Amino acid sequence: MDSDSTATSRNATRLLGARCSDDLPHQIELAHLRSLEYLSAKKGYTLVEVIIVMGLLTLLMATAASSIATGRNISRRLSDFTAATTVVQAKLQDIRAATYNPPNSPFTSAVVVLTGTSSIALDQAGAKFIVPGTITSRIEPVTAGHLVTVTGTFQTRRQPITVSLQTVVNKYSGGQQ
Amino acid sequence: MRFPGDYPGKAEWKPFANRSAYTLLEVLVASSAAALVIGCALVFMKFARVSVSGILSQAIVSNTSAHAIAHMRRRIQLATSTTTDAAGNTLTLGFDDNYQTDSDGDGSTYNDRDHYETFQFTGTNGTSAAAASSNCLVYTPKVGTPGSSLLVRFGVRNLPSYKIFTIPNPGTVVIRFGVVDINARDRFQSIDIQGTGVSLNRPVSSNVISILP
Repeated sequence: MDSDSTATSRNATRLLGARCSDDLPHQIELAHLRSLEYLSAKKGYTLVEVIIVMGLLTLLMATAASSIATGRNISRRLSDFTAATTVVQAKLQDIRAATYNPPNSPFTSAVVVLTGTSSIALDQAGAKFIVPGTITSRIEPVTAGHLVTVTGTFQTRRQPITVSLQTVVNKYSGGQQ
Repeated sequence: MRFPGDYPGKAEWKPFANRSAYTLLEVLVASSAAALVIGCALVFMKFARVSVSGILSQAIVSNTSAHAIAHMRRRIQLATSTTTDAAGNTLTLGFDDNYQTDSDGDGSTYNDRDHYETFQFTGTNGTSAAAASSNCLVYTPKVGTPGSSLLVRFGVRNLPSYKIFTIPNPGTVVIRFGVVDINARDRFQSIDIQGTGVSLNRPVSSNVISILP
């Protein structure tokens, strides 16, 4: 141990022996000393440390990117769902617009199923719809009139979207003059 | 005059005296690592910015168009008459303001047209997303009096080979339009709406099914 180190150590010992109430500035000086000694003893980060930190950062960014990508998909799916709902709702309105005069078609005493196709998600060029779908309307007699169930299934890229809406149609619901 | 060596407590600076400088290799490795991390972070932030912007834009076009079609459907349901222009860009709805009064003298008090409302597409017809940026959908609650509101502020476009408003039979209005996000930097966000509005106050001859498949 050289003379400077001895002096440092002596100084530290003196400071450690000081009371908190009357020697606070010296304690701060001691903390500073310790941090300097820590720095001098540490040569730098090892390659393994750097690789681990970078790996963790990569993992963090990948997780965040994945979350954002999921958010984008959900957002796109929400739009498709909205578009699908309007199509199904349109079909429901379509059936409500028909004259309710049972047992005339389509409000017969048996279950009637109508099937058609529709598409949603127009592409950027505005030339064609990307997502095809099927609209199935089921009209079945119930006590209060006819229960209409319209189900739209659209084949989106990952998971199909299915929207189903129901209403009861009877002689009071049409509203026609 | 005081020299650096004369400062009290100079022994405390000893640790720095023992430190050697970084070698060129260390600096290069550290710089490369830092550049890699910063580069990745910048790329990630750009991706995140574009994506979040796209998510918000998609939500906006979805909400806007859903609100627009719901509003139009509600108004059509209460209308006593529905007409469109030849281009299918303007939908005019008639309303009976007083169900106790027979304004048009046809013997029915519930089917008068005391005021008119319009839903009007303004802009250039077409399906192109690029040309749709300034297209909008305007709602006028009472024709002939000042005051109208933008139902869809931007990006309205036609669906391929369809007019925006079609009346296949009196009392039924088919509405088809798309909304695109006009911000080109967050990729392409759009929605297409195909809806039907049926007036409850419609003539019996209009009860036709199978307007949409």
